[in-house]
Amino acid sequence: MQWETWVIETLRRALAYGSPLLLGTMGEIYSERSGILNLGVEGMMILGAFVGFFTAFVTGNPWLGFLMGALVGGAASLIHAFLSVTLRVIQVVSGLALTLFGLGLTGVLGRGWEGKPLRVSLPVFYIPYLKDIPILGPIVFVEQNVFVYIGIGLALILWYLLFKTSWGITIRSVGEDPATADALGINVSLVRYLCVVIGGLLAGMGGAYLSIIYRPSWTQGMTSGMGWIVIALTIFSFWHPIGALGGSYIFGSLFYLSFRLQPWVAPELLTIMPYLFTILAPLLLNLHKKMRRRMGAPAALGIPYSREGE
Amino acid sequence: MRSSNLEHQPIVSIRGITKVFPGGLTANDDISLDIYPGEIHALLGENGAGKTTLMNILSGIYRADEGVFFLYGKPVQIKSPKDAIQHGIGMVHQHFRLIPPHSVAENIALGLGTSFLSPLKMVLKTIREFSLQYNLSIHPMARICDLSVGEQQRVEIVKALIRGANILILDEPTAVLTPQEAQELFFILGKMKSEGKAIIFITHKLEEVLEIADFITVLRKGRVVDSFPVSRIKETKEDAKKELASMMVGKEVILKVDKETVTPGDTVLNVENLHVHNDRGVETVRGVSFSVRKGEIFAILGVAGNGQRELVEAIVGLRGHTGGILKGNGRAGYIPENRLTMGTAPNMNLAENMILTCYRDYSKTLFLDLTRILEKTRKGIADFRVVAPDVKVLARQLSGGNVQRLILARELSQNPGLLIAEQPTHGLDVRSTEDVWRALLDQRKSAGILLVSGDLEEVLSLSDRIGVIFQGKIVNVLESSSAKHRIEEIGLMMTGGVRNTQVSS
Repeated sequence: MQWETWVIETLRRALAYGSPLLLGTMGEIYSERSGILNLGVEGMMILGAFVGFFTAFVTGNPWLGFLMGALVGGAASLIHAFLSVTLRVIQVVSGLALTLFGLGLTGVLGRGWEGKPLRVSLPVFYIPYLKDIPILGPIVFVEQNVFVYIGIGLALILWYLLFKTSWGITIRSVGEDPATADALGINVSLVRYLCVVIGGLLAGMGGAYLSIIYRPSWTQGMTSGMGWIVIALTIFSFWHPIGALGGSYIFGSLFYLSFRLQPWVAPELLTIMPYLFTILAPLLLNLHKKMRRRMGAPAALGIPYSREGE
Repeated sequence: MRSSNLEHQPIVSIRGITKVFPGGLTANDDISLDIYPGEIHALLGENGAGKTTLMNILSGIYRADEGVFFLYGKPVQIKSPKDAIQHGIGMVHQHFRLIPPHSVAENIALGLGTSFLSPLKMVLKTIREFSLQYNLSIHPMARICDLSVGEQQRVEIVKALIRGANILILDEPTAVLTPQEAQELFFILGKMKSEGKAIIFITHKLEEVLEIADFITVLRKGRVVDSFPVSRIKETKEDAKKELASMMVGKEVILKVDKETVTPGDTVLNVENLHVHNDRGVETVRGVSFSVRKGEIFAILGVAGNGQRELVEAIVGLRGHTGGILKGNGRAGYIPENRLTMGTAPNMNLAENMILTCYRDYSKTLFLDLTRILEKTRKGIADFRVVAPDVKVLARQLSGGNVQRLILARELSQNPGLLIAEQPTHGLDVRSTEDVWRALLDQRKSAGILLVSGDLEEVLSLSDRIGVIFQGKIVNVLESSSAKHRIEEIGLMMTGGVRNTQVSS
C-alpha cells in the first residue's frame, strides 16, 4: 500500500518536473523536423527564465511573465534562423553561440535579481470528479499547475499539426528534402524560419516555467543543462510530440527521484541520469543509417539549403 | 492522323534556346522545335546531346541564356519550376523527386494547397480517379520507400497530372523500368495522348521511339539534327533504326580507336562467388566470379543499377562483402563514376588533387615536397591535356572532361597493376571520351583493367572480354571479337532476356 502512494506521488511530480522539458522538446522537434538543428535551446531557455521572472516580479502578473519569456525565446531564435537559414552558417556553431549568448547575457542582467523570491503564483488545480479516477486521477488531476495541462494540450495540437495537416506535410517535407519542396513551390526559408521561431517560443516558455513555477525565483544558470536534455529528448522521442510527452515525464521522474532517494542513493548519481542519457542520445542516433531513418530523423537535418547554382 | 494535327496550333514552341554552362560547355545551341497536343514527341540523342538540359529549361530548373518559349502561340517566361507548373508543364525527372519516408498521398499533396485540416482527402479521391482512368495501381497510403521504381514513377506522373499538366516531360523514363513496367508506362502515355495531352519523351533507345513516338526530334551536340513526324521515316524497322542512329551519332564515326594486340599476363584481380549488400541491406551482387589479367580490359557491361556500384565498391574496399573471395595483386588505381566528389576533393587545387592517392611519396619528413608536387602536376596536366589556367585552380572549376583527365593523370602516373574504371566517359564530350579511351588502352600494356560501363560502344571498342551483368549476376562472359556480331543478344542479356548462363572465366 505504501509503495503505491509512493509511485503515484512520483508520477504526479514527474508531470510538473517534466513540463519545462516537454515545452522545449516540442519546440526543438519542430525546428529539427524542418531541417534546422538548434543547439541554442539552453540559451533560449535561460533568457526565457530571466525575462519571465523579471516580468512577473515587476508586474506581479505571472501570465505576462510567461508571455514575455516565450517572446524573448522566439526573438533569440531569430538570430539562429537568420544565421542558419539566410546566411547558411554551420548550425552547430550558430546554436552554440546562441547558448553562450543567453547564458552570458542573463548572467549580467540578472545580477541584482539573484535570490529574490517571486510572491505571485499561478493557480493549482484539483479537478473535481476526474481526480477520483483510480490511479490516473491522483496523478494527473491533483495539485497540478495550469502549464502541465497546457503542455499536454500543446503536445496533442502539435502532433496533429505535424502529422495530419497540410502544414505538417510541408514542414516534414522541407526537413526531408528541401529541393523537392522548393520545386513544388514551397518557400523553404519561410517554413524553416517559422519552425525555428516556434522552437524559440516554446523554449522561452519552458524557461519561464522554471523561474515562475518550478523554482519561483531567479538564479544564474538555473537551467543547469536542461536545454541539452531537450536536445537529447528530441532524439529519444523520435521527433514526435507524443514521444516528447513520454520522454519528458520519464526525465521528470528522474529529477524528482534524485531528491526523494537521497537518503539511500547518492543524489549525484541520480542527478547525472538525465545527462547520462543525453550523452547516449547521439550514440543512438549514429547507430545505423537505416535505424536513423526509421526513428524519424529528418534527412536534411543540419544541412543548409541553397538552390542549385546559387 | 498527323495531317489533322498540322492545322493544330503547337502547344509549345521552343525558339532559339541556347544554354552555356559555367564550364564553357554549350549544352543547347539555338534549338527550335514545336510540340503538338495529342502527340508523343520523342527527343532522341546520345548522352550529353542536350536533351535533359533543354527540358530542364522548359520546366524552369535552368534558365536559358537566349531564346523564348511560346505556349499556345503566346510568349511566356518560365523562371522557376512553379512557373512551369502554372503553365501546365510537368516533368518526371530521371531521379525522382519523392520523399522516401512519406506516403504516396503526402508526396502528391505537398505544395498542392489542399485543405488545411484534411489535406489528403482530395488527393485520395483524385488518385482513385486516375487509377481507374489510366489503370495505375497505386496504394495512396504506402510509403514511397516501399514501392518499386515503376510505382514511384507512376506517383511522379500523378503528381504532374494532379497539378494540371498538359505537357508531360519524361526524362529517360524506361531506363529504370523492367520491360513489363515499360509496357504499362506506354499504355498510360497512350491514354494521356488520346486526351490531347502532349508528351515529351527523352530517350536514346531507338526501339522505344519507333514503338510509341508520333514525332521525333534528334539532337546531337546541343543542336537539332532534324525534327519530323514518324510517318516520314523508312518503312522497315531496321532501316528506320539505321537512319535514326546515323542522325544521333553523326555521319562520321569519330570514335575509332586502334587496339594493339597484347598478350595477357598474370592475374591481377580474382573475384570468386562474391556477394555484396547495398545500403538498404539488399543483396545486389549475388555470386559474381571473374578475373582480370594483366594486358587485358575486362568489361562489366550492364544497365545501371544491376549491382555494378556495389561490386566496384567492394573491389576497391569501400564496402564490405558478405561472401566469396576477392584477391587483388599489386597497386590498384580507381577511376570512380562520380568523378568530382569521389575522384577529387572539389575544393582543393589541382596540385593537391594530384597527390591525393600518393601523398606519402611526396613527403620524406613532416612536410610535403612542394617543388616535386608542382612538377608532377605540371607534367600530368601537359601529358593528359588538362585544360586549366594554373595548377592553383580548384578541381571544381574544371569541366567534367578535364576533371577526368586530371584523375587519369594521377592514377596512371602511379603505374597501377590493376585499374578500375567506372563509367569513365559518362557525360563527357567526344574529344574527352577519345582521350580517356586512348589512355585506358595505353595503360592496358602494363596493367589489367576492369571497365564498368553501360555504354555498349565503349565496351566493344575497348574490351578484350565482356561480362554482362544483370540483377547482380554475370549472365555471360564473351570474347570481344565474337561479341561484335552478337549485339542483339547482348542487349537481351543486359535486360534479362537471357539468363542463367554463367560461364566461369
